[in-house]
This record gives sequence, structure tokens and C-alpha cells, in this order.
Amino acid sequence: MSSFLTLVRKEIRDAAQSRWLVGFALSFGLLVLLFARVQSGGDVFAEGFNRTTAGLLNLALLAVPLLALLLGAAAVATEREQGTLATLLSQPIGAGELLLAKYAGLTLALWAAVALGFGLGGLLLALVAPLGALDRYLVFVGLAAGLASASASIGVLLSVLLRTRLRAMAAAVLVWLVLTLFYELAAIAVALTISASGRTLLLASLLDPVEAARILGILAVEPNLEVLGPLGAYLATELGTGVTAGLLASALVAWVAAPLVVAVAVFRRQDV
Amino acid sequence: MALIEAAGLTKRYPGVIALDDLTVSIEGGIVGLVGANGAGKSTLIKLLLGLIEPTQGTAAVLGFDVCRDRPHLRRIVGYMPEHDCLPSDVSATEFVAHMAQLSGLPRNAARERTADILRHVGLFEERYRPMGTYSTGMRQRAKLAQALVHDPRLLFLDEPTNGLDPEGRDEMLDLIRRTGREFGIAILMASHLLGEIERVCDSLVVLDAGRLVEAGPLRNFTAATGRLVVEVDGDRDAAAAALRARGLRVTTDGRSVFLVEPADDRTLDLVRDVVAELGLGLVRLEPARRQLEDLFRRSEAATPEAVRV
Repeated sequence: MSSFLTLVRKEIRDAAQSRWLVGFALSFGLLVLLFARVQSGGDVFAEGFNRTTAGLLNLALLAVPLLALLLGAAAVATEREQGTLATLLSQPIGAGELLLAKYAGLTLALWAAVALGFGLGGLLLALVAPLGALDRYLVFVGLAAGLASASASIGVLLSVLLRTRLRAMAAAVLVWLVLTLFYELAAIAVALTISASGRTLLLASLLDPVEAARILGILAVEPNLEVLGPLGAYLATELGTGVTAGLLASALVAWVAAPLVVAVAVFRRQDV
Repeated sequence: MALIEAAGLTKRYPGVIALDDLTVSIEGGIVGLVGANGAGKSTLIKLLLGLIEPTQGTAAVLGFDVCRDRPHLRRIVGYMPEHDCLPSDVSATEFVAHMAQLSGLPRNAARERTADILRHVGLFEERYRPMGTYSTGMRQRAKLAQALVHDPRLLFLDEPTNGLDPEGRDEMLDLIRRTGREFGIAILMASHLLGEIERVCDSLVVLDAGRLVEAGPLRNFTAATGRLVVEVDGDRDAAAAALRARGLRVTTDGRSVFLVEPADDRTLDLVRDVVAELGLGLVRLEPARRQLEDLFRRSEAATPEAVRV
């Protein structure tokens, strides 16, 4: 256990020194304030958290998965490429333990970046804007952290499967494109052309963590059928908001666990 | 208890057998693992560390099975890999202390132990510098320090003098010798340089193309051959012919050195007399010893493409 915690601490320390995470936290803190200003239409911060949250949602759905996928993809592949993996594994720590420690450290660092970025911006906003929709803003921050966990899990799996850093990161970008862009387009195409069954639409919304987070975010901020998109609209209409939120939250949890389980199983069998 | 025991240990990769049916028992001390590049030295070390799974066979290190008892095993062994494994933006103190903590030492103990071990390897003065600014020799020392920091009972060193200049090589070999002798740590040292092995090791395991060629104490490999080495200044062929005429078996090797059998007192007298009669200068007259290089010459002849499948 002490080796596990040592590795987790090291990952967090490395992440804190990484320009990516610090840049991410600062950028999002500024964006929170910028969105609040722009969306208030000149009346600075008048609309407060609700409009800001809605505006930030789409941006977070793009940026958070990209960052988490890339950092996850670099996690093991970088160690392998630098030759440090064999040295680490020659210590009394199992392959599964090593992978989980790296994931835990990375996820905690991502959470810290999300909390710092959105939290700092939110705090400044709270000083000058109405606090009415603060609860929704907090749900949004939690959702961003959940999406970061799921994306990092997928990234770590790519890092285990693809043995060089370049290939793992290229695959991470490809996965990001599919999850954030192509998946939504494909869902619209399916809904328009082949009048898919309810079960297909339900499955489609669960099979993409970004889509699941998007629908969850909209449900939390302003449940509007036009904004929810084809999958979200179907779920909200057929299952109701509560059941939909429960299903999608479970899907996000599954997206955290499943890639990680596969990654550990593969990593344990791999030669160093 | 043997340091290392392997029975039928085999590692196959697609198209190649990296290690082929290795059965060997290795006792303590400083053990040289010798072989040309691709002989299977690194594969054997990784198998013994449990970093890769054997395709066949079993192995135990200090009584621990390399597949079943990995966590226990890794607490008592240290590993210095052949390749570079040091992050360039981190100081030696930070890196070695991290590895010490990973091996189970509490933070303060890890710090103290790190300072001691960096002093031992000669990096104490430079311990706070980022390792990216180190010379090759310093990086090799830092690699050795991380392998030693948790006070292992057995140290695996994979080509520890890789990339070092002659002076750096001497220093590293001296450090290895002191680590083995003064600390009493058993060492398995892989190298393709026979001279290094002869200078440091007590015993040898010789691999060639994934197969065991020979294993045993170093003295067995350099034992007297029952022949004499004769080196003369002058007409070597005349001296060889004269010795043959007196009933001795003489082998020449194209230089002014040749070998004479048998190596007894009568032969010594005969060589002295013949050289004196011919008016030649006697440069060298001594019992011939086996050379480590001979092992590879023999194995090349015996196993032409043994590991290709």
C-alpha cells in the first residue's frame, strides 16, 4: 500500500509541475469569467451561474475529454519509452497496482485542475453575480470531473495497448474526435434515416461518455428538448428526467471502470 | 540455498528463441553473465526479475519462484537496466529517494539511505543536480544507486559499463567489486566484454544464442591447459621444428608465440636448450591458460543456427 501511495503522490506532483494542467486550470478560470460577461450582454455578470454554466458546458465537453485522453495515453507509454517502466516494475509493486496508482494520481490531478479552474472562476463570479443557480454550476463541475475520469480511463487503456507514446496519443486524438464530433453526427444520421428503435437510441447514448455527460449536463442546467439532441430528447421523453439521469450517471461510472479493468488485465500479461 | 536456479527455462518470441532450455544453478559472489549481443543475457535477467513470463520452465531466485513470489523477490533484489531509465529533469536525490520509498522504506529512512548510497557511488556532491546534466558515467552511477538503495541481497546489473570511456569503466568495475566484497551483496553482472568479467567476477555463466555454453567458477575457465606458451625473438619456425624433432607436439598460431605439449619440467628444459642452441631470444615461457574467448570459438563451431526457428 505504501508503494501505491508513493506512486499516486508522484503522479500528482508530476502533474502539478506539468504546464498542461496548470494552463488548463487557469484557462478555464478565465473562461468562466469571460462567459459570464459575454452572456450577460453588457450587463456584467447579471445572468449569474445558469447562463454561464450552459455556455461553458459545450466547451468543457470538448476540452476536458481531450486533456484527459491525452494525459491518460501518455501515462504508461511514456514510462515504457523512457525505459523507466522496467525499473518501476522491478520494485515490489504489481503491474496492476502500478497502473491503478498512475490512474489514481492522474485522475486526482485532473479533478484538482477542474476544481481549481471552474472553482476559482465560480468563486469570483459568486462575488458579483446572483447565487440562484450555484447548485447547477456545482453539478456541472462534478460532471466535468466525472468526464475527466472516464476519458482518462480510456486514455490509460490506449497507453497500455499501443506501445509508443506517439501512437497512443494519436489514437487518443482519434478517439476524442469520434466521441465528441462523429458520434453525435452519426446519432443524428441514425435518428433521421433509419428510425432506430428506442433500445438502439438508449444504447447509443450510453456508449459515448461525452454524449452521456452532455445530456446529463443539459438535464442539470436547462432541460430543453431542443437542446438535448436526438438521443437526449428520446430518453427524457420516454424514461423521464430522473431515470435518464440515473442511467447516464451509471454509464459514466461504467466508462471509468470498464477500460481500466481491461487495461489492468492486458498490462499484467504484457512483457516489459 | 543457491542464488539462482533455473530448470528448462525458455523464452520464445515470434520467430526467435531468446533463451533455450536453460538449466543452471548459480551460487553467490559476483557472477558474470557473458555472451555476445543477442545471446539472451537481458532476457534471462528480465525472466529472473519476473518482468517477463517464461514460455517454459521454472526459475527461483534466493528460493523465491520468479512467477509466483514476485513481490517478495523484488524486495530483496535490485536491478540496474542496460538502457537509460533516468528522468532528465529530476535530481539524483529525488529519483533515488522515490525508488527507495517504492521499495517500502519510510520517507525519512529513504532520504537518509539515499544520501548514504549516493556517497557510496560517488554522486554525493552532485546529488541535487538534474540528472539530464549528468555525464554518462554519472548516469550509470545513479542507475546503480537506485538499484542499491533498498539494500538488496542480490543485484542484477545489465551491461553496467555501457557507453563508458576506459577510465569510467575502471571506476565502475571498482565500484561493483567494492559493492560485492564490502557490502556482501551477491551480483549477477551481464556483459559482452570478457575482460571486465575476468577482472571482477568469481564465477561465470556463458550464454550463446540463447543456450548455456558453460557455467562455473572463473578459475575453471582460465585453468592451465597442459601446454606451454613459448614466445621467441627470432626464427620461430626453426625453434618449432627443433622442438618437434625432439618429440614434442608444437602448435603455431601465426605469431611469434606457439604452444608446446606436454607442460612438464623436461619440456621446460628442452625449450630452454633449443632456444639457446639456435641463438634466439626467449621472450616468454609459461603454462598456457584457457581464454574466455575460447568458449565462444567452440560454441560458434558447435551451434551454427541453433536458436532460429
